[in-house]
Amino acid sequence: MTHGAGESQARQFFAAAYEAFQHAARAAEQSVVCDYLIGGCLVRLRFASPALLPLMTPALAHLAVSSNGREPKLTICLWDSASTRTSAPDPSWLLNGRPLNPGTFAYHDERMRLAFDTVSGALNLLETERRLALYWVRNVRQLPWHETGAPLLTILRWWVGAQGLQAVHAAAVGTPAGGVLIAGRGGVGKSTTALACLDSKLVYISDDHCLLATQPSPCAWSLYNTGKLDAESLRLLPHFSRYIHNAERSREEKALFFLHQHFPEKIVRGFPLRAVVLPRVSGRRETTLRRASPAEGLKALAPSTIFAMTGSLFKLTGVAQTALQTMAELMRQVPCYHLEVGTKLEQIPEVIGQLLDGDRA
Amino acid sequence: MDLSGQFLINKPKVIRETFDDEVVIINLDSGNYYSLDKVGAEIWSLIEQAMTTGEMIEDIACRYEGERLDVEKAVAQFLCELEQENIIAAVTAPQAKAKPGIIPELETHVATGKPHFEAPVLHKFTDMQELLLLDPIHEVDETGWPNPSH
Repeated sequence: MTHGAGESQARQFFAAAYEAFQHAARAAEQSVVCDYLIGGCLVRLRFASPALLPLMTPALAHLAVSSNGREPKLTICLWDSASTRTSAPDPSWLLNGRPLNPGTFAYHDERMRLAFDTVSGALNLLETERRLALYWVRNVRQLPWHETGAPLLTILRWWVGAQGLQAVHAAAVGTPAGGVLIAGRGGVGKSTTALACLDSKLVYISDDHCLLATQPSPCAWSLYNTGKLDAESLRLLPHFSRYIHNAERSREEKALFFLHQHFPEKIVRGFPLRAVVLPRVSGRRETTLRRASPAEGLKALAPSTIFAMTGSLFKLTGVAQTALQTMAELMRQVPCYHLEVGTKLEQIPEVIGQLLDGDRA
Repeated sequence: MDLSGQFLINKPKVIRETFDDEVVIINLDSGNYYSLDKVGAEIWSLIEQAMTTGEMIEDIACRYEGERLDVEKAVAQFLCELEQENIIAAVTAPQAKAKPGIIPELETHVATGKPHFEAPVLHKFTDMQELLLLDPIHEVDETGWPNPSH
């Protein structure tokens, strides 16, 4: 990575982008501020205009707080060019005037991270020293559906590392006294397993992304109150059909739910972790648990965490090694189990509840 | 076979974690991930201690019951596999040996006799590869794309 005079181009771009946000906020004259408690830290979202509000805030609604005068640990400034009638930040230094290739253009140095996604058109910037992040899109209509279900994931994943947290590709359910992390690659049944527990005494943290801490003891923190089911899983849990947020796009997208809107008492901010479970469809009737090795747990959690969340620079910044170490530490701290999911889905929360009650630990 | 050959783990693109009897390895470039257990995990430990091929063969042959030739062929084949997957790379300059740790298996062997040798297996998983293809990351330096960062 180059430094000195070269590094200033990135700083200049950040400064120009922040100026663009401030100009957009003045132009729109409708700025909105929302505060959230993410991983126990106060995060402030400053919207230049209300256009992005309905797309970026529902998934975070369960974490909304009043700042009570506290200074946020991170401020994220969000705007779009269309509703604010302002011009886009100019990433020409990054692209060097060349045609865009599909994918994410990424830059990082000790203080700053940038990701420009050419597919969604979203620009994510984080300046760690200033505790300031920027999120821009040209038009809110360009936002892909998954951004609404997991808003600002790129920025938050960059930022949480410095807070002693690791964003992981996992679901989590349990009780306020302790819960389980549900790990596995996409399609293995994390969402179905987590959502099947909503109609039980168990509480819910996530179905796909959450935050992991291993010090001083293992715990999971909620990031989004969303749930997602593909068509096949929706057939297994048909009562969720009434909660679908994106029904008009059901052919192209997974069914998306904002669970805080329908189960506010069931969505919690965090709990201690007591075990890791690895779901898989057994084909049998009964749902059972079988002990798994720490290595099996790590294989289920780490690759999808590191590779599935693209645009985060895991590959080349050394963050991947730290992430792997954190996830491995969890596997050494708590037991791991295969959750052999049977056809009677109502057994899932029973089996997990028994595990947490100590019947199987 | 070069018995004096040593190997280094291909950091930083290869990351790994070791548990008591199993190793999990991830190749950040290819998206492949692997696990090693039993004899494979033990050989991995010997690689990390900068042992030569000959020393690894000697160590494994002492700890397991089996034909010496079978051990030699299996260890050589295993090292070749690790190299082909770009997990390790042969080094030309001799590396200083890491201080060997206590090997619990050896203590057990003394007490109960040697276990039968089984060829080491590199368990390979490729289900993450297509995720890398779906959203390629172009990482650039201060001079912009397409100049890659180093």
